[in-house]
Amino acid sequence: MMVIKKSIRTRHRYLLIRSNINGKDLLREIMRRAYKYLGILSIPKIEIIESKDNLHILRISRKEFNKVRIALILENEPRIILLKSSGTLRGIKEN
Amino acid sequence: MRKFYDLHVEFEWNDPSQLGYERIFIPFFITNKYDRDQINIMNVEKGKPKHLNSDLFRFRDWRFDIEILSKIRDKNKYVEFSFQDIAKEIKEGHIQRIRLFTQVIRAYKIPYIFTSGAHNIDETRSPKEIALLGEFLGLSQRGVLDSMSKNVENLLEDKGWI
Repeated sequence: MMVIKKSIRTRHRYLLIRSNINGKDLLREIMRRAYKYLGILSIPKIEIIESKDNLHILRISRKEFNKVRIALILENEPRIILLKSSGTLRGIKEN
Repeated sequence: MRKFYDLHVEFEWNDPSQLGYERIFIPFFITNKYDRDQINIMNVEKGKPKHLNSDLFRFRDWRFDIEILSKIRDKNKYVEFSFQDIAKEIKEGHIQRIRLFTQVIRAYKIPYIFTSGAHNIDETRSPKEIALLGEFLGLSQRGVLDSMSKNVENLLEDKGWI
């Protein structure tokens, strides 16, 4: 198996959000906002790692993390509330 | 732990503590007369307010006159940054106007207060979210958070409400 050097790996940050919509609809809404405010050339890879009730954990590449957060709060409906951000999954699951 | 206040909410919000606010205020939009019992906000068009007898000045078109901003600073009044106003400008593609305005606010050390400017529950934002937008505009996170706590407390003290 080919090992990727640590320095080449994409670094991520994790974001805990609260939203009424779930699953594919949520990811579609997040990507729509990212596309609208960041533009097609700087859309990052965004994944939903975990979902429980209305809480969701997103994994976003570190480069565009701040811009994505701003894109998420600029629109009003459906409301996506940013709760916590962390560099590790463990950090975000605490509390 | 510091307390946060939102000075510009235009609906009855029953539970502001959900987003971390201690108290919210429904402001009075001043035309001529100053109301001592309310938070007074003056809408400023083309950078020139009618008079300086108001608590907050809301520069709606982001045009400014440095002399007037200096007077606002000297009189211990505040410039309002409303989240909904900023979001609207960004959506319309006029972010450069706001960036220039915030640069001047920083350079001349004009006191400012961030508010949500919400008309319904979906438009409300937590202090952290508002600070994120402030950072994006070139202000410091600490300065934005202080504007929603310390600056508001100073204003309320001046009015004799604390």
